[in-house]
Amino acid sequence: MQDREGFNTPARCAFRLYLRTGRRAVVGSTEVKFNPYHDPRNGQFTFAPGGPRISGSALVSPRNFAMAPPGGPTGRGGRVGRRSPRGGDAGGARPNYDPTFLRQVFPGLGTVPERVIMAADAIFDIFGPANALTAEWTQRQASDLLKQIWEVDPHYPRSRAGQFPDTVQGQINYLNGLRMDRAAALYRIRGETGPLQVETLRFLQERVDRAYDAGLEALKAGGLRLTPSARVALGNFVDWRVRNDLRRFYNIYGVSTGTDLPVRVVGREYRTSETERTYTVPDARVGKVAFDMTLFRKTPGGKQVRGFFASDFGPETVIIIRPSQLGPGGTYAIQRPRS
Amino acid sequence: MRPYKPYIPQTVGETIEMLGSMVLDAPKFEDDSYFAGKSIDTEYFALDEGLKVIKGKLGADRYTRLVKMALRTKEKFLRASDGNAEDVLDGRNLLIEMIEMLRRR
Repeated sequence: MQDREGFNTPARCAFRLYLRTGRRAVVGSTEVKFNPYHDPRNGQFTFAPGGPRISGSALVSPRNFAMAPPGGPTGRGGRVGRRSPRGGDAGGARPNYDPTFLRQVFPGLGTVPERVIMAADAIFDIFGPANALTAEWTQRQASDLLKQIWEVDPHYPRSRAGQFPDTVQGQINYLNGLRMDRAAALYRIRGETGPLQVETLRFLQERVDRAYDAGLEALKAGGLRLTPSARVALGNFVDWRVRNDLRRFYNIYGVSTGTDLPVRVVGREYRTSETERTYTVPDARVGKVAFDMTLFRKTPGGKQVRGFFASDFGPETVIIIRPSQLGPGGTYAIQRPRS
Repeated sequence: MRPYKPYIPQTVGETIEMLGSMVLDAPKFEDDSYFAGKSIDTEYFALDEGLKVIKGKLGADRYTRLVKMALRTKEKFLRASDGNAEDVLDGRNLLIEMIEMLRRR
């Protein structure tokens, strides 16, 4: 096929990859067609969901998870959920590019206690795997989102409909902003935390990836002292930046946070059921979900995760968010154990 | 997209995290994604206001020193926009000194 005005240049391919997945590719690298039945790391055939692109389908037992290689489990050896290889609803055949509940991001969530479920890519796949960006598509999405917001909040400013941006980055920001407006409206007006959990995850993953890049750059320039090792220093600065970003994010969208509220950014979560009062500090919580950002893999049996589940706010799910740059399977949900 | 609105840190812990964030954001403090409109001025406004919020906990002497250090870092980062890597490094080190000062409660 003829290249339409540089449509398939490496830079455009890298940009389309970013739009679809939120991941940054090195310009000049070749984008290969995705095949869910081959593991792109070694080219080997895998039985059903197995490659990193679709690790979101995997339900992994805590034991298998703990034994998985550093890059994270890919689903082999664990229980495999039934879903489309390209993400989407649990049990649904079509991918869902606008998830509003965590079970759409982590297919199988809520079914088996203490399981580890890898995130589907679909949450960041805002334009769909087969589609290049079109302004028409984005406008349709924006129009749908605006209708949904006005249904929940009739006072939402009508002027927002006339602000469609010209640039691609502007359009991405516009859609993300509308998604967060919808989530914030549903939370404030109807008390629904589900969509806010999804938008918080979307935001945190993007910010963790950016902070990790910025941290590596600062380390290289020799600008991160303070803690005993480079990796610990990097982890601290990434944590600080993302937590600070999350406070601004909620502040801009009018989401109140605090100790006695359903949404909180950093704070001691106590366990008062024992004679001795103890606490853990998740990076954030929204409803019954705790979020924790980390460079290191955390397991269901680890002290910190067990502490989250034991705390008084009683999370049903703990979501661990790691930089995408560290490899596939970095972001996953851990379901509450039975006891 | 909502217009950018700086968040004013409300506690010593939040101020430490803001300074840590600034270490990675320096020297430009701009963001083309969720926080379009963020700049060196919005960030230093938030830091100054945040230091005022915790002034009582810091004490007059520590507060004054931190305000002066903040001003010096801003000057360095403004100079660094010309591409001076040494100013960026100095500015970052000063921000880290501010973090250490705040940690010594």
